[in-house]
Amino acid sequence: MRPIKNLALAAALTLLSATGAVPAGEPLPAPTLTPLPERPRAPEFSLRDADGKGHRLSQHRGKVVLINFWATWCPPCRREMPSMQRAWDRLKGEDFMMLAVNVGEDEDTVFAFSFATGVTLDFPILLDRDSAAIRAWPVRALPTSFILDREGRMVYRAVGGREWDDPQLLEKIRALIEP
Amino acid sequence: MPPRTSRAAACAALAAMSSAVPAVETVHRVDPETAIHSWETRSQDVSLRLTQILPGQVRGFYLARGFDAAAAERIAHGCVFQTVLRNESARSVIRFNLSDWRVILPGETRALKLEHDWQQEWAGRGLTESARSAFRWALFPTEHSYEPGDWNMGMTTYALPAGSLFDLRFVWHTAHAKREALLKGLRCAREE
Repeated sequence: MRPIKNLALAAALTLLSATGAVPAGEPLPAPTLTPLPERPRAPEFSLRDADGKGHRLSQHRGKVVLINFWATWCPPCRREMPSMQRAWDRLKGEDFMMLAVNVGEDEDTVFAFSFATGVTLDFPILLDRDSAAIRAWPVRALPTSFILDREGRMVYRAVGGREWDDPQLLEKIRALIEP
Repeated sequence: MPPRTSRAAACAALAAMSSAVPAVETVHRVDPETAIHSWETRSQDVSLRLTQILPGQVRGFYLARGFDAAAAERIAHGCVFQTVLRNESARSVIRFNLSDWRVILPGETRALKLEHDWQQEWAGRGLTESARSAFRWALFPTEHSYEPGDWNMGMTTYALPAGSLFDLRFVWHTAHAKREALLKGLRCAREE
């Protein structure tokens, strides 16, 4: 790994820990998802994951999809990742896909982050290196997540981190999987 | 060791400039290990927390994201706070635009330094697109609307010298009203 990648992660981790950005006692995020009544069509993207495999969003049509835009230096993004893995584990075998779209970083930084969390993240992490994908989405801050229905339409939005294995959130996702 | 905490009750006699804005109870904490200060308040539908980011932390963060030393130095000395805003209401959507927020100094009120201002500077310095993109996403969004339960975190910058003391008038809108409150006694971080 090139030194700059270590520097990037070290700077992010230092920034996060030293500012007390996620202090003990931080309230759990509310288990809310905002319905998008118009159910707009999700913008297509084609991105590679951290292992180099290509993913088109439309290839997951027919499944309910959780799209999460994030970055390693973003404290609420880091905090919600383990809960995303738990949700991924709970929904395994169902018509569900989870895509975490990293904004602006490279695979070395993402791998280093994944290693630092101590949690195995085995859902696809896609790399939006030049931010081209995120620009087509209605996102103003990280993290922002969307739940898509089987037809690729945006049904819910969440701004800020969530505990994705919260039963209320899983219930909403399952209601889309098995209407 | 728990953080030191002091509570500043609402001050009855605010400066004339801010007299129309209610001061809200502010919880001030100092991290005993890092000496980093934070200020937090909850007012009606929202909670707001500002935490100092030390110049060295800011410098390291941006150097690692493609900024040259001079540009990283500009931000490092821009009085940077990690900012967390939450919609705490059960039903109301809140909207905010940081261009409505004001820094209140003795005898002077000024705007925050926003992403637009910084990006103009970066354009003149020839920063790479990826560095500018990292900057854009690390900053607190200039404007946004939060549904109940939504929240976010990002950097806000105040363009004040290290150690400066100021109050912050923060403004948000609900469906039917404009609301504002005063967060008192903020201090820009000093070089560690």
